[in-house]
Amino acid sequence: MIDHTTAEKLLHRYFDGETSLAEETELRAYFRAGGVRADLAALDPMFGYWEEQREIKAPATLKPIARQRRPPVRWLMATAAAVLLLLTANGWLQRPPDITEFQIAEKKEIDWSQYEVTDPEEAYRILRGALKTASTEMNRGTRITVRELGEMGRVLK
Amino acid sequence: MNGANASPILDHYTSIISSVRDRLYRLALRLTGDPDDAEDVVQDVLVKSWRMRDRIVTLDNPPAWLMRMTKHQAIDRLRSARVRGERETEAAAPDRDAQTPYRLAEMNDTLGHIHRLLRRLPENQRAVLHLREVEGMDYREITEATGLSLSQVKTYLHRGRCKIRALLLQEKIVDA
Repeated sequence: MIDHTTAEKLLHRYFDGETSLAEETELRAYFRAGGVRADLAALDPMFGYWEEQREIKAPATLKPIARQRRPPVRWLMATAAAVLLLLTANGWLQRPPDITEFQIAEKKEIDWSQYEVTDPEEAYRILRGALKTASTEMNRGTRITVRELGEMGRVLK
Repeated sequence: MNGANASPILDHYTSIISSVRDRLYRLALRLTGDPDDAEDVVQDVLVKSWRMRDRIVTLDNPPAWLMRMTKHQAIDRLRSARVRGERETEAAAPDRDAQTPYRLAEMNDTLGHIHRLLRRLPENQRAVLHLREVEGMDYREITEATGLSLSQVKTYLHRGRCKIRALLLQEKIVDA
């Protein structure tokens, strides 16, 4: 460690701004060690002050806030493509059945022969019933007309 | 950025920040004079540095660049009239955080005198003194960190040291 005389010389250069970092380290060590010469002791607090300032630490909360790693864009794009592919495949599998696949009843020829009357008596009976119905329904209009005319006659009297 | 290079860049950036974090805070504290303001300043610098990490890791001297950014950020904050007014008013206010060396220095009579003297110095002079005496930076690093010329750095350092010596000797705050 430097002696008092060297310290005094270094201090002169120090205040002139001419000391190197290494010489300033020697000065700090001189004052830190204690036993400083009386005429230099007035400067002791200055070196003590700088020593204290070096002990200050930044709060642990200080950090770049965007530190979380983000996945590369190409991975995001690959993931998006895979999801899209899955959705497309799922939609294709789940799609409603094509309407052309519905079973449609085929038009069949009617076999009218099964309804053909072959028995003469049965044919006569059916014919008579049909004529009777026609006769009854044809007279219905006449009866209604006669009745209405009768009603009018009574009103006019 | 190439994905394969992402991790080395991140690792390099993280190591730079780890090495310089305390220094940034101390410089911000020296310039703003307030732990909360210093914290805000450094947080802003760190966030900005994260956005520019690709560029920062390629610099010749990333710590000096970050120190310079911190200095500008702190001075901008100081020059806000509102903040400046508040801090000057608070200069003689009761201690708010007696656990930090910074606050302890304010409480101690002799160290408190030095502390208050430093707070009255112009920002550039204060920054130069701090970078040399506390951070142990050489002149070239100080010029890079402050943007000042070499002659300005030497002048500020000389004047700052002489002011402290004058305070200690002339005001006789220490028994010789």
